Amino acid sequence: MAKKTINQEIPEEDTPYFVSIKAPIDLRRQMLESSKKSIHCLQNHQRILLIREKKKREMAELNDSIKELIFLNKKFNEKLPKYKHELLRDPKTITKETQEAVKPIEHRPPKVARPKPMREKTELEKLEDSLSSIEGKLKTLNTQ
Amino acid sequence: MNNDKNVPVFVKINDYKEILDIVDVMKQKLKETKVSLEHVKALKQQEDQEIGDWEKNIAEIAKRLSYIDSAFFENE
Repeated sequence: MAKKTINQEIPEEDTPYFVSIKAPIDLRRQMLESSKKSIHCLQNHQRILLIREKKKREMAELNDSIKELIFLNKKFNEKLPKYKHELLRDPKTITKETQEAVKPIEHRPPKVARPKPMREKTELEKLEDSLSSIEGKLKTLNTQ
Repeated sequence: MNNDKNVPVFVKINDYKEILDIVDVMKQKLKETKVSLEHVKALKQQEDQEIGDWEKNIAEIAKRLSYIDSAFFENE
């Protein structure tokens, strides 16, 4: 293998090209500072991930607690005696107003049967149904 | 039964005891729920704080990068 001679000509393309940078120390400082900030960003990201993980666990706990509360509330309602307010009321106290309020419900035209959607109700829809059922009960209590 | 809103309702003694137990458990559960909710709120605040810091850091990087960019390419 032939050794390269020192005096070998350097091709034009390989000649180094220099660009002057003013205030190199300041530039270096800026670069280091931005590297530092980038690491801070990564730290932020990691901390956010940890917080979200914790939050997820707490939310699951909260969800369980709420489910248990709903269950207990249901049990509580089951334990209460079932009765119709109308039956307990003195017929004399039933005013015309309440009679009118009751009548339209009895003479409602039969609803046109709509095809029910086949999909299962979401948790949110189920809760919405429970809420409207409770609101209905409250309304009947208020009208009496 | 003149005041129909206050019609007395009679509950079996066994059921009554069970109802009291259920109410006690509900109270306890509600306390736990409140604690959990406070934790979630605190975590949300922490997350907001972190996101705020993140935003500030990114703004800082952008500023410094712009300086570096101008320093490097002002010769062009």
